[in-house]
Amino acid sequence: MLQVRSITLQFGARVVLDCVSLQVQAGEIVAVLGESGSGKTTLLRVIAGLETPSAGTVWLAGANLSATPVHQRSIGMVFQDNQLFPHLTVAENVAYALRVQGVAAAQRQQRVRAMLELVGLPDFEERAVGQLSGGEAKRVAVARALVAAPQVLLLDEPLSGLDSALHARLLADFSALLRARGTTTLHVTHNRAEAEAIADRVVEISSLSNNQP
Amino acid sequence: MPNKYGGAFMQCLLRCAAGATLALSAGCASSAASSGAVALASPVPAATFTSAAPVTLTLLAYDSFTPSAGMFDAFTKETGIEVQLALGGDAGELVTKAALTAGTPEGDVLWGVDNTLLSRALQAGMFAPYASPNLAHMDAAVTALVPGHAATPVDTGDVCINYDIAWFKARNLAPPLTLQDLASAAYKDLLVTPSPLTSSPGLAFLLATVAQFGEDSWQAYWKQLRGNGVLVVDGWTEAYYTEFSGSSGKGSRPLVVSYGSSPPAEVIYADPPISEAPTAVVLRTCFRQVEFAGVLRGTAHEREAQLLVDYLTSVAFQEDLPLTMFVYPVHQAAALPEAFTKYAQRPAAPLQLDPARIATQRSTWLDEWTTLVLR
Amino acid sequence: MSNSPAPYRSAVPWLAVAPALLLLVFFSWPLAGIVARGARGAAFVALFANPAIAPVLWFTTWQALASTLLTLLAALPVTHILARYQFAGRRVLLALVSTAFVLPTVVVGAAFLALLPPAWHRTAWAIIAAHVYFNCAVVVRVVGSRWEQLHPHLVDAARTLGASPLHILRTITLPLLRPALSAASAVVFLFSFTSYGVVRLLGGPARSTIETEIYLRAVHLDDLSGATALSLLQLAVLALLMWWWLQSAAARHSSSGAVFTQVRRPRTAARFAAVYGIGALTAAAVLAPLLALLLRSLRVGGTLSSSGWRAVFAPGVGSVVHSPLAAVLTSLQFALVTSICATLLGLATACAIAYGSRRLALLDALVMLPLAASAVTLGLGMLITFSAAPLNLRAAWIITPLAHTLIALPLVVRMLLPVVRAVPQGAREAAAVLGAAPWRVWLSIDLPLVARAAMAAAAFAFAVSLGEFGASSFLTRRTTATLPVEIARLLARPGDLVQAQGFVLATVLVLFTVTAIAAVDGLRPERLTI
Repeated sequence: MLQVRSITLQFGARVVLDCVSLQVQAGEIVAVLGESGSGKTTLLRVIAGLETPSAGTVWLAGANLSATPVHQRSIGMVFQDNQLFPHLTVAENVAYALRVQGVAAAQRQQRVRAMLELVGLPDFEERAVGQLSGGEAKRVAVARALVAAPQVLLLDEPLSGLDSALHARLLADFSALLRARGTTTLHVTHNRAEAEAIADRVVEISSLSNNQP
Repeated sequence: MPNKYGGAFMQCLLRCAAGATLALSAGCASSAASSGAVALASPVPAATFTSAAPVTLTLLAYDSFTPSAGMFDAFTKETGIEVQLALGGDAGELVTKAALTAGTPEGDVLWGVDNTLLSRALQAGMFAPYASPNLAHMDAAVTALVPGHAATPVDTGDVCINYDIAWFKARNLAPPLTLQDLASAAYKDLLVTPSPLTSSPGLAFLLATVAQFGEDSWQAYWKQLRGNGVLVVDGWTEAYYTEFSGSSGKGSRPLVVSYGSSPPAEVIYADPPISEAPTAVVLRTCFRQVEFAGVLRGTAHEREAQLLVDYLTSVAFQEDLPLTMFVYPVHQAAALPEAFTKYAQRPAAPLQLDPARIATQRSTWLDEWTTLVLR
Repeated sequence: MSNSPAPYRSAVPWLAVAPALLLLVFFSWPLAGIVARGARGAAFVALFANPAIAPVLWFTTWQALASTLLTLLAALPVTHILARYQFAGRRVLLALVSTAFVLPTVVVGAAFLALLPPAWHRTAWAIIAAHVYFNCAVVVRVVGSRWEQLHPHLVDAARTLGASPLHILRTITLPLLRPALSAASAVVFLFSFTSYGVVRLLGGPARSTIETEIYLRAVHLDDLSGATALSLLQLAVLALLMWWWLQSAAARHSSSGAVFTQVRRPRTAARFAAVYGIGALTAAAVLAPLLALLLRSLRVGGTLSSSGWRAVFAPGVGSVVHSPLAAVLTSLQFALVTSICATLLGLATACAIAYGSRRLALLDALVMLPLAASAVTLGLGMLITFSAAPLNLRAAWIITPLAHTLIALPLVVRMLLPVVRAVPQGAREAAAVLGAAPWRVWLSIDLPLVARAAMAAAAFAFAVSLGEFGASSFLTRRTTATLPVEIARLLARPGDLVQAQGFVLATVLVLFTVTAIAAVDGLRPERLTI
């Protein structure tokens, strides 16, 4: 369903992604493993359309995304540092994509409430974003990305920097959530145990490069 | 200030004072090096008038006070007194500032009060009366304007309608001869005047119309002028150098309120040289302006200041005036340059108003004018 | 956020003393002096009874509002590209835009008159256009520095949620920029409201704002009472406005913590075109009046000639500028003193406000007051106050830089306050537990983070002083005049050659200013202020 074909990205003289290819089936959860600096975040950004590759293409459901701008790709992303909108409440953050899509207020409210319950944050609608703990913020970020029902969800090291108890709990929660909804997911991390726990398939980013000797 | 911060406060003050002293001494050094051509370090000869220590007089004037370079050298040589120019804006600003500081003046002598501003100056009491011996060489009509000798006349001029000779010739149109002509349809949209609110010649023109038509009828005249398309601009420079067709700005209006000495100025500044004045003056529209200078009340050097006033009204200084400031000397023995005698025309009986009348009525007239013309 | 006490609170009284003293001695005292001299109860009554005053009040207000709105609209595109992108000529563009702010009104007025077709002379729109020209730099600096602090991934996140660029601008960017936008708007509104030179030069006699009316009454109509009444009215209205604005802004001040960004080169063709297009358009708009100045300096007697330039730099017959270098040196001297005073005092003020209790917000409003007061009344006030004992500063040249400092100080504070507030408390705490005393913490943590912004503020204050004309034109010039005053003098005098020399000096001032700003900005080429 999602095909990454020979993506190469260079920043000046530095080659960040060297002819990387990848395929993700519909409903599959794939984990991409790599050390820091190996280009895994960049790969996600290219897929989302936030970076333009020097060469190669991204295909979604048989369509070439090269000419499609970010906001029309229906590819959701959870950033490593969440990037919650500081001037909006939790509910407004989660509802953002629904507002863009023009969903009516009553329905928006309903879906936001349902999603917040799903991520384990009932009654968090009116909270200010700055007052959330690390775990809570992470859940809101996931809720925000999921409520838009994207075709593909990209997770950029979602569980890094969390204490082990929270890590374990969120790992279990997200794993269950994603499987239940059947969302095609690309999960990037440096933690092998986490990758194996959450994903159907684990790949090393270095092995994705076509130009392996 | 609460006492517990006294320490810090005193420290701060001391530091500030030290800084200011340093700055001041630096400032003095730079001012000595950079003051203009008028203050020279000439050796002090044996003078007829002796002062205990070398005195420097400050002559306050408006920005466009431009005597020839070195004009005050002769004065310094003769009396040992240095003259330093301090220029302070236009005539209005100059008088306002001097009036506010009357008694504790910023300088010793002030040049640049004209007959429209005279009343303000006298009311503020900013001058110390002085009857210069040179008064005997002036026209009695001029000296009579200031009976108490608070101020001394230094030059005269006329504010008149100037017209572009070539423009009228090309259209076979006779230039206007009187103020009333300006309101006629033949001269529609041809006149530009600076605003009397902010410009001295502009005010002189307004006063000319008051003198001509009387205090009750000038309003009707201005209504006609407005209907006839008079253009009012902010200052004389804009009127003459941008809107007037007869000057370098090559504007669209061939009639402008300017000075009687503008035609000679056009000849003198012409490059390449010309032999005939391109503009001329409508004599029956002229308003007489007289300029005054005076010793400022409260100056520490009153006697020296009086000497300077004598110098300003002496033949030597007066003869420099026509070609540098484009005004006429008041000293009857001062000779006029050739360009002036050849190209300048002076009305025998220009329009005039009693300065005391100007004093009481000016604000009212200006308010009325604003309502009539600008709103 | 947290309940821990504000850092350095004990230092606040010491910090607040110097700016308070400056305001007291050089602002309140002269103001009180001129009011005491001029205010009469009857004058106030006469003022409100005068039918000519209401249209003046109305015109002043609507042209200031229009100027503010149009400035924001015009400046936002170029602010965006300067805050977000690295491109060739970025430093020059920034210097050009900043130069426009700094130029004296007499120079810009003359340039606009030379540039605009006659139909535009003496219109309200010419005034507004000139205001936009001047004030874009305020928006660029104030909003731009905040924009730089917005994490670009916020926008990326919104894009992945399906929002189009316009939607993002409306729902994410502008709301997050709102504090900076209202700070910039307040300053632009103040400048446009109290603008004098532009209104006189470009508006003609028929267009009158409160400021020109004050000047008219005080200087030409001998109506000091009316002038004082008007300036008190203006001061009261503007002070209230600023108080209201500061109250509403105080609740929203952002302490964002991490302050960083990276400017990147535009990578897509569309972005490339947009960035360079906006840059080129803005540069052209800023340059056009300046080129007009250059052309006027080369025009003598209706033909192209270099005699103006020769007259200034190789003095001979017809030269009226005796020593152009002296005017430049004087201006530089004053500018240096101003920049040092304004930056130090501004830093002290910003720190006092940031570290102090809510009451210190009053100091914030007070510091802005000089911008709200009429330059005419202030100048005249200074004249009578400092002409005699106890503080006879008349002969001291320091008085002009002090007047400039009063005017530059509010701008410096506006630029430094958000930066001072944004220093992360966590870093201070980390330093403290490592054994650093409070003064050391400040020197090693706060100062480095604030230093760059302070440099930029110093450059701004320097430039403001270079071009200042209004207040200092009332301080009688004993020594060589500053460049703007010299230029104004020459442009007001008759004679083509004289006028050309005035334009030569104006061109010199422009070249000098652009270079100075570019040089100082060049110390931190990747950033607008931080």
